[in-house]
Amino acid sequence: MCGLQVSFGDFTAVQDLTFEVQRGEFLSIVGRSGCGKTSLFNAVAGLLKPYAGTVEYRGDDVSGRPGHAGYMLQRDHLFPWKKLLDNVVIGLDVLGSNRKASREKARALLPRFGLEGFQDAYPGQLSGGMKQRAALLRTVLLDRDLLLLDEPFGALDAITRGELQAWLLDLCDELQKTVLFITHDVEEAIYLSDRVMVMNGPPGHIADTVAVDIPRPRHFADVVTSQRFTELKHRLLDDISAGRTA
Amino acid sequence: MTATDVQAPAGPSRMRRGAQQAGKSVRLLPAVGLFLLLLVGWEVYVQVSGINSLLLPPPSAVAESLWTDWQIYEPELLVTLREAVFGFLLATVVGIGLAIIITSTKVMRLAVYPLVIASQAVPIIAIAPLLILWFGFGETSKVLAAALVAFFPIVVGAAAGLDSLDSGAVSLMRSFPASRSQVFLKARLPNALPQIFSGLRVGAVLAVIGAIVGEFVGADQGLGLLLARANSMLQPVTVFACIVLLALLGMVLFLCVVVVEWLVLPWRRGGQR
Repeated sequence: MCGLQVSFGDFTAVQDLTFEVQRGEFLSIVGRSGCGKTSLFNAVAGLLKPYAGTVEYRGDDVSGRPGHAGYMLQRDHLFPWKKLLDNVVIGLDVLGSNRKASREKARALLPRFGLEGFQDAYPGQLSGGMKQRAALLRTVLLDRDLLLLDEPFGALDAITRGELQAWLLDLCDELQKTVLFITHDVEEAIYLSDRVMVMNGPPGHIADTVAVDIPRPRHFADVVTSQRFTELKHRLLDDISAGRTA
Repeated sequence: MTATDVQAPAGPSRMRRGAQQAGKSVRLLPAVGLFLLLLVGWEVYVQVSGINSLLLPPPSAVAESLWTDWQIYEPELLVTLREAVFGFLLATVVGIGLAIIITSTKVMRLAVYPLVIASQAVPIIAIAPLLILWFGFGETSKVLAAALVAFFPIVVGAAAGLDSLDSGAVSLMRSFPASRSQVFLKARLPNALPQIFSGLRVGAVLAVIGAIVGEFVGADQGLGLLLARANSMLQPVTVFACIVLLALLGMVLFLCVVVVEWLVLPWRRGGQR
């Protein structure tokens, strides 16, 4: 059981926001840009000490104390001076793990992340999709049960994005992680998630929470053409536009 | 960018690297060609116009002097080389150190940066006599003059580089969690290297100028001294020979930095230009 409670008093970013995420759950947060989603993530990751309220992880107060979550930011932030393999193990290197063992572990996962044969490539030689997969591999290698993914596919073209969404769905099934996923794409949120929260603001607050009762495994074309999908999408879009007039 | 843009890191890119190097030597041609053309034009002009060779000696005479009197130039060249190199190395250490201090906190930036700029606003020619007064006619005062001129672009380049790390990269590092010193050593410093090297390239050339200015003001050895003496004794061939050697000296130091940069920053070799 992984219980998370976040509440803030900082009016500029996020205000009085409370939610929980269950272990193994895929929870998406949708909202327009600037509504405080990334501030929320920085607080959940322990990078930002909340002005008021607490972040709890498995019963411990982790406010302002990073290290419990694997955090993938909007941009890949692969370091241009490191080869791919050294880039994906940087977290383990920082934590002082055995360098050789971490590289072996990473090498074994390259095929699953579609990066086989590119371990010696510099980020400048990789495509956008590969960089995002490498950034995700870097996050996964930390071996944290909680993953924070902040618009991981935001910067990609539609085709690459679709491919990566399906791939992520499979991967999450396999890894059994708890995932918090930020996006401004409602379809992506429904397709991937167990639950979707709509965040409006600023100041950021939860406008609605919707359980996605579409059975898994999900096939993209089937899901997005189903009636349930359309109903959910309609409700979420209404929630988001209600936030604009407010 | 799509998947088709990806190049395998093995064979093809190495071939492309070879092609790039061939391309670089082709790019040298215009500079060499123009240089030769100017030399020929100068030689012809001196021969045809019959200009007083005290005003403008022909390049052939300069080359001949360099060749026959090399034992005069060599020790002076080595002195100036040593001054410039030590000055440059001192400037590198001090410059990068100051940049680290400047970028460490806001207070430090506000306190130190204005003084760094003030040190450059005063021309080296005004400070050099003081250096000679304090440190004597030997090489120390010239090393300091060279360092004083060369450190400025190094500070500015390094400070800009250290500031240029994306805040997202800092968040990423801290989420692991990485300590402040790990963020600095594993992200901020390597991220700054390209801009540090830009500063070093400029600094290398300026170090030669600093050393020469120091020698002009007061020295017992060095190319600058030789040049100043030759000038007052109406020996234009020697003056020109010194100028040629100084130009070469600056270019060689510059190239040394470029070579080190090439070795240290392997990821910058292909593509990004």
